[in-house]
Amino acid sequence: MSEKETPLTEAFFYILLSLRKPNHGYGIIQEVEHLTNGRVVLGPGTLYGALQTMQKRDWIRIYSQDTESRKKKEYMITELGKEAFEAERSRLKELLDNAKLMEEGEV
Amino acid sequence: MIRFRLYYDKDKETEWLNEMAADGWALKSFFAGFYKFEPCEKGEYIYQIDLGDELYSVSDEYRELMGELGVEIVVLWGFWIILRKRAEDGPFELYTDVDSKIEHYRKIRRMFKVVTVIELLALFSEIYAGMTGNGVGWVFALLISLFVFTCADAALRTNKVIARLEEQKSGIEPEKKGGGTLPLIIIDIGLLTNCCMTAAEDFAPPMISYPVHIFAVIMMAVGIVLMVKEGK
Repeated sequence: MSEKETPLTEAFFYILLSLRKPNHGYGIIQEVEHLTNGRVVLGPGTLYGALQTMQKRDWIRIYSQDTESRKKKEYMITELGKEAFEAERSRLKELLDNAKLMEEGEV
Repeated sequence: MIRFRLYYDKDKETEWLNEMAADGWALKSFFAGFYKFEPCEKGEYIYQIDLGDELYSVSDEYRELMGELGVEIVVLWGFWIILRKRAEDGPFELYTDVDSKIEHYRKIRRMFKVVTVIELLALFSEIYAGMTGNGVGWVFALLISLFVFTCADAALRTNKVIARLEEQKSGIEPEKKGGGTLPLIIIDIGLLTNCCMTAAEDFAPPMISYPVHIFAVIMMAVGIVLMVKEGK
């Protein structure tokens, strides 16, 4: 994905979040589905593209890879990835803080 | 069962493969337009088509991830990847958000553009061959012009898909322009080539100038047909 890095797409946001600890492909999809109560179900193409892009940006890395035991490949967030996530979090916080202004109007 | 089809629209192709699977025919292999099917339970599989980064192969990571998600790689053809998943394992859609869909169709458009340019070069050399007395050159020139038209048309169609997705993403309807720029560019290439050749007529031998003129006329014709099609 070549588009600008912020704001994060929902897919990127939730994939980063589910990689706070090592996780594999199917695990990521399940966790994101669970966190969003089934609203966001990542398709294989979307997930693969996001994993590739985030590895290129050094936001995530391959955590474990064991070809002999046929163990699934696991990914994990990096420091750079955490920074990207935090930047997004403060952007969202600003939105939420400002959203409170709407309540003033109700008085 | 073997069926012969020529698709240059992956969405229509996907639709057809899924209709076949719904009728109890699962795609098993593909070679140059020949689709080989074998019987399956009606609606046993859902097919999807992806565009990869490598010719006739996929990265280990792609293969592993698809395997882990219960997706089977059925066919690798050029950059195209035909995939299927058992319908009982739930819905199967490759790209589930607007951003990744846009990225996917951009990749497809890029491929069609590159192929169009390569085919233009081939067209030119075949016209030259035809001029130098090789009759087969003309046959190929005709075939390649059809192919150029098809690819340019596919690029344009993909353009429209992307525009629709971008509209969906931003919620803003794009300004209605008088069609894409591609037909104009193609016509311009034709006109420009023609002008240059006319200017250089006195210096160039007919062996060179005729093929160039014919090439220019074909370009203009292709551009005009595309423009008319787009206008509809």
